[in-house]
Amino acid sequence: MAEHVILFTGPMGAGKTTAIEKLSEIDVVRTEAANTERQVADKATTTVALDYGEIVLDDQDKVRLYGIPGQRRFDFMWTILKERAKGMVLLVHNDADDPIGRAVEYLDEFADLYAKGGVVIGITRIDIAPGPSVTDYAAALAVAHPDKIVPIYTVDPRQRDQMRTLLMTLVANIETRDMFVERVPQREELVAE
Amino acid sequence: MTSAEWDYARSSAGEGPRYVTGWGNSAVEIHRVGTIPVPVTMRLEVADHPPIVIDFARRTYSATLPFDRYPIHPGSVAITAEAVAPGSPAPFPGIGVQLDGLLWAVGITAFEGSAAPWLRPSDRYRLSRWPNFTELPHTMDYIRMTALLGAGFLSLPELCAGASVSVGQAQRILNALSLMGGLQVVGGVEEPTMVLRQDAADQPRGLFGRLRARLGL
Amino acid sequence: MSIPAHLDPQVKEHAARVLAGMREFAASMIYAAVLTDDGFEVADYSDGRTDASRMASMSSSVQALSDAVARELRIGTAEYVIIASDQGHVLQRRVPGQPLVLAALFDTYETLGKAIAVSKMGAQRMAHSPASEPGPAPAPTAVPEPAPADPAPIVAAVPPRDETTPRSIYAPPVSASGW
Repeated sequence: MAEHVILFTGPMGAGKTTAIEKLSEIDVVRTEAANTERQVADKATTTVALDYGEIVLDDQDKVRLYGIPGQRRFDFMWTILKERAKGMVLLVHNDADDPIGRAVEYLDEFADLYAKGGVVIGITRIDIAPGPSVTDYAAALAVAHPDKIVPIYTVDPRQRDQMRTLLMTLVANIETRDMFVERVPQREELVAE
Repeated sequence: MTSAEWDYARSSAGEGPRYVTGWGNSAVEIHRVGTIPVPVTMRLEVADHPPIVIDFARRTYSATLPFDRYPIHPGSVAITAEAVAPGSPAPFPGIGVQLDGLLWAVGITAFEGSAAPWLRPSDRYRLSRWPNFTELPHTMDYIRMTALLGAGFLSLPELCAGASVSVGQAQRILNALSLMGGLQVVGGVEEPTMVLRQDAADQPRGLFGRLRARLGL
Repeated sequence: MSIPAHLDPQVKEHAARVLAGMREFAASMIYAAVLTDDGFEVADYSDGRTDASRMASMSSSVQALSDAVARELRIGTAEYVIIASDQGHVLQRRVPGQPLVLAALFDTYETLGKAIAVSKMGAQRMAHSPASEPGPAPAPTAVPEPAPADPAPIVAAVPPRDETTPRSIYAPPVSASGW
């Protein structure tokens, strides 16, 4: 049985819990607490341990969807879950303070997943804050990590189709990395050298 | 840019309308004008339909009809391109919409599965930026092909083999991505350092294939 | 909007008094904290070796996970959580009627029953807001009744018992006056 763990990360208020609810085939296990940081994200509750949902592939396999708390004070949960993760959906709400900086911060934190192509970024709440644009994010990430091309989409976590596109992109990106091998030089090339 | 280069770029934009047939020839004109290194606006007029106006500098366009409401094979498209001073206002009211949406639609449909004339059979391609697929009509095959192009330089046959798609399907996405400026293209016969595995064809038991089947995508 | 508990000086002061009161009853209490549901430290009693902020976050997660397990198993509300280890046990519970959690670490010499009782006492005292009960909290006079009547606890981790030194997990019943 293979373990397919996908993390949903990003700052508080980006829409991680909603995204998992749209994808999960089971009632999502939620660990929410009253939010005392209303100045950071104006919502009544916030995830303090994890959200958990799943998509059943067959009798043997499931895709496990874990949402982790966005606040850095819960980074022990990040450590626990990232060990098992195959990939990560990073959601960033565009009306956050310095959303691009937050995105880069998360990519640095989950550098191992990033290095193996296991990251896709969803920019949320563009109806509230249209900028920065996808191009702005891509440009900033190209400076921070010039060797990687990360899928960056604008998304509404309430839209199931969009969340599926995000998830399928992530899985495609992870799998295709394994489809390439280093080219073995042909005999004549070796002779020429 | 020297003033001679500026003059050359401006003159490349063209003057007066050019009349072309079909979206294929329109795409060639869009591709040509889109690479001119000065701010250019373009207007495409299909008979009996509202114009499509492009602002290349801001990567936006404006049209009052969605692309799929235009004829599949327009008999005549009048195209006007004009170089404008940097910082000029947009050539349409409002802020327009992302140009990628139009270029994707034109690129996917324009050549009906044949190669765009600016692409060569010996070329290899690699993704330089992901299209914003939540804003574009797409299939799972497009996502898989884009992921493959993001992982290494591929020729057309390699892309077909890796994604288990027809030449026509693969060619459509190459046309569209190159028209959008989303591909690195290298010519010549030299093989890249990383190549596709021999058994790399789409495995139905792979997670992508299984998830796709499960979600009915 | 009301002031969050971890920013309210009155609540913080009250919490500090409650923790000090707990310590008076249980010298085995090494560390204790009152925290908000979402993991901010309101007050702590510490040996100086514990990162109170980090513990507040972890306790918040543990409490929320325990609640999720209780919900999933349909066994009602998680009354308290025990993490039993070979060098101490952590006991935490919600403060009745408040979005707060009380967590405490006791050394292994303490009986689990007393730890449960002391934490219950602390949580009950914490439930009385400083506004409704101004002035210093009354000093406890006796160890409260152990808490065998509490609903089933969620035991997060139980190490293997050393069968050569068996002992009761409950302290002998004592007077509950003053609680």
